Amino acid sequence: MACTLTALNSLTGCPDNTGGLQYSYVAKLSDITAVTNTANLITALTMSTTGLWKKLQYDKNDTSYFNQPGQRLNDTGALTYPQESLLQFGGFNAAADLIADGVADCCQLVFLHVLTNGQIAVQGLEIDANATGGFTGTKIRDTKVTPTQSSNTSAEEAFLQFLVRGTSKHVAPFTDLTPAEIEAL
Amino acid sequence: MAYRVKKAFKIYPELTTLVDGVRVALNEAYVHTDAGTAQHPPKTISIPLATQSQLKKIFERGDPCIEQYEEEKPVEIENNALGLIEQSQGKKKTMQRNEP
Repeated sequence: MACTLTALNSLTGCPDNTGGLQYSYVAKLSDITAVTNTANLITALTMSTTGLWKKLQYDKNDTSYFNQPGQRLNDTGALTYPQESLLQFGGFNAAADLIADGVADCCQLVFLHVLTNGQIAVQGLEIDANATGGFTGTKIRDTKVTPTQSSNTSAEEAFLQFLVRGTSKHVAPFTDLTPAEIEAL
Repeated sequence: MAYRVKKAFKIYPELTTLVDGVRVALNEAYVHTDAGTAQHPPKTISIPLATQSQLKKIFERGDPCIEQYEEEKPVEIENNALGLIEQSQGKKKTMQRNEP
């Protein structure tokens, strides 16, 4: 993208700045066949079949997040965005074991995070007009899940956590698809 | 003009997208069975093949799977050719009638 400067003001208009995630959807990158977008906003998805987006409803206990802190090599070099999200599910049992093993074996994943403010951020996918289907996975490092199971002590909560990491060349796109549309895909 | 799935995307027999909130198949109609969960029983759904007007909408929104192409109309061409022959024969007959 060419150097472009745009005025930005969060002092007026009261933008919704509530942090955190409500819930997410996950699919394999290889199951997405095409992406339609306008200015980094994904307006439509084409999938290799239906029913591939799986809904993840995790604990609402102030732990879930999706961050992408930009970083430059040697302060002024190439810019990358290490993307990271944390999703925590209460419980510690055999079913959670199977889920953890299954998701850990996936090499390239895409997450649609429904933020608390209602926006939907896309982790694990980059818009690329030159690529087949108009997209690629995260270009620097694939997006994968590192599951963690913790029983913790009786004073704490037992949980399964998904730590989702990948590194992109550009900031994550958003989508204007509604949750109902994602579930209908 | 007509619309079709690009050759590169023909490898997905169950290629699916949404048009106006409706789920459609782009290559061929198919039946999908959702395995179900502890909360939801399994269910079977039929995904209809997209119509030309739906393909047009998908193309116009910029979906890279769809392309526009010129429809071949061999039957119409044949009919047109036949019409021209008949017309020319008719002309000849008219000319013959007008001959003294």
